[in-house]
Amino acid sequence: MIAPRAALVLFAGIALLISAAEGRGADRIWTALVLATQETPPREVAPELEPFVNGLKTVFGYNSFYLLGDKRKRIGKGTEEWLVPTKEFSLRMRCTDRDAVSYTVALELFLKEGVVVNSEVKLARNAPLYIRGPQWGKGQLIFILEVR
Amino acid sequence: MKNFEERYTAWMDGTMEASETDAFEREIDDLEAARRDRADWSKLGGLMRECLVPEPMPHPDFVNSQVLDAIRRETPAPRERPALFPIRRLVFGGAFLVVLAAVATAFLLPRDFGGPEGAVYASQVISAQSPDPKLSAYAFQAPGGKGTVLWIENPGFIPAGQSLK
Repeated sequence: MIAPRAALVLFAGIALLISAAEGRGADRIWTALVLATQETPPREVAPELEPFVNGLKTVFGYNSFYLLGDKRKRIGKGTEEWLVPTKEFSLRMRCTDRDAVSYTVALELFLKEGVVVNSEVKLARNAPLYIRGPQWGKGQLIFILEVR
Repeated sequence: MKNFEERYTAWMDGTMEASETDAFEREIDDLEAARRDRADWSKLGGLMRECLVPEPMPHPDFVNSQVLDAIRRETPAPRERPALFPIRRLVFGGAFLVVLAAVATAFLLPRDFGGPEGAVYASQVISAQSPDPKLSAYAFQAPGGKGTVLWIENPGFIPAGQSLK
């Protein structure tokens, strides 16, 4: 007969082990849809976008950036995620592999039920990927993907 | 080799073998006196067997049980030898090792990717194709950072009036 105290210690140990294992594999992918525009004066940037502003300005040439939406999801082999701003415009991403330094992700950008581009990328941690999306009015839609 | 007393006792009891008896009797100084002693001893033994008949014990089972109880009471209990791996000790030992493994996993093993400490890795675009020949896509490194850009030429247009939500 196992004493209750021993059973409690055993249970706590197993729970701790599971949580530690979960914690080790708890990388998340942050995905954001950004609208870049040219405005005078430039608009304030959402706090979530502040780390990316300089890169966005340099690459895309706009001075104002709006965060239209973002998601954070645990990533692992087999993870699939859809970003669907509209019925006609969406991004599908599927994690196909993982190595010591990056996640391999298959991307498909759809516009009007057709595939605009197929791509395979390796996402390293804290190294964002910017995807130039379609124009929206006078602005430019940009996807940002980052593993954290 | 038996000494004289042992052989004498055997001769008196009549248990000596015949081959030894003659030799032994030649060693005895006064054989006649010794034979008389043996006869007396034999007679005494017979009388004892006849007269000293053991009396049957009343309630032998009760007496036996009393004796056994007394023996048990007076015999010190043997000390229990501790088991080498009692269940309780095994359980506590196992639980301790599990906790130790969890702590080691959580705190000692690196939580980061397995790359060298401080190494900076950039994301890479391995491939990018478009089924539409009018579209093209290419990748480049964002200046001044770890960012990577997947640049799509003419990716399309969504009218400003169309909601994105």
